[in-house]
Amino acid sequence: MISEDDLHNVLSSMAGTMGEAPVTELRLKFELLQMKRDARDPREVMRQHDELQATAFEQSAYEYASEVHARGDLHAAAYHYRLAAVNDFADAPLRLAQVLDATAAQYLSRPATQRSKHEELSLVTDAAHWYLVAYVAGDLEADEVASLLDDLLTRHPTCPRQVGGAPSGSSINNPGKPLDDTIDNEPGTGTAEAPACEECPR
Amino acid sequence: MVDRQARHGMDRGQHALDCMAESPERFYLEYQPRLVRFLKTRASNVNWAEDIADEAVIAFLDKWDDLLTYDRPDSWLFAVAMQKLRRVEARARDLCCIDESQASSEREVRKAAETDDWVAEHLDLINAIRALPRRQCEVIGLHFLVDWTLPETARILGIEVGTVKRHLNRGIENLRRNESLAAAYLTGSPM
Repeated sequence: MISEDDLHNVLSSMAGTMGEAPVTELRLKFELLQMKRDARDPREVMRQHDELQATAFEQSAYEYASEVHARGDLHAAAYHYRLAAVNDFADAPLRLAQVLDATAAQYLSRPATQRSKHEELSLVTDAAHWYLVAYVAGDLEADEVASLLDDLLTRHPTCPRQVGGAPSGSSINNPGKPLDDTIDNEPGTGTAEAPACEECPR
Repeated sequence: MVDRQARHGMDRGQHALDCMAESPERFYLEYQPRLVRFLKTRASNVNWAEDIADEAVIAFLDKWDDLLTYDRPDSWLFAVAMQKLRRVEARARDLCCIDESQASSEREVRKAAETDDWVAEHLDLINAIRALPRRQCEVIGLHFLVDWTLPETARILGIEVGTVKRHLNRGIENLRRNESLAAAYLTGSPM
């Protein structure tokens, strides 16, 4: 293992020569660059201008998201962090994951409905995705992301929770009854209501 | 009283403005090698490093008059190049056309070393820096190689100074633990 002082010395010697390059070669490169710049057609100029504007837009979205996040508006914060996160601006992927996690947590204190369960699951999935993006980018260490995902999934168990009143006669309470018999098809939605799980009540 | 880091930043900003006052070519000679080499220590594809550096300089020349009024026009150049690289890589990740494996990274560095002596001389260290998680790699490159202060690094990356310090400490620890780097250092071979 290299000592910290040795590492600093090696890095500073590397930095010391970083700006050195043959001047003739650099002058030639600059001439070519000037020619490339002058030869741009209006469309190329516009493309480069738009890309620069997009970067400024990501920065504004990130700054606005931070403001509204501080004011507690999680939906607006998630929307604006996402605009920055898709292009990996600053630490927007991590901020987005945290906001989605906090938004999903709000569902824990609300009465559960079929719709709210879907929304919650979607938020949890999205938060987990962005935590992983932040981990791959290096915003989080492996142990941090593991702990965050573990907490997230513990708070929002994947088994379906009961909707409305406590169900009776489910296969979980009646092990002898086939599971399919306990699923009521919800008219109009084409989806099935899964049996309630006693291990993870609201 | 102005602290040392702020003083350093003001001096660096003035130096960039002095180069600009002389000529665009003077500015290019001063900043292009650092910019392109910084990008080479970070980009998953070294050809992108050259292209992005060119595009960032062209954007700089397009915005020349505005940038003359900035305190730190040089940090604008690095921030734009950094974000361009992140955008290109994010798009490539979405399209699954990016190889971010260690083997590919080392191939890219060897390719860069064929045309750049600085890369050839620091092959092991560049490989070790590129093996770090992206954020740590960016912070190590900007702070130690390009010599930005921590607040300047934070401004370029759009994050808080505390976050920069965290990435820096982790990056240093990871570099110290890198076995290939330690082996190269102990045998005295080029790093």
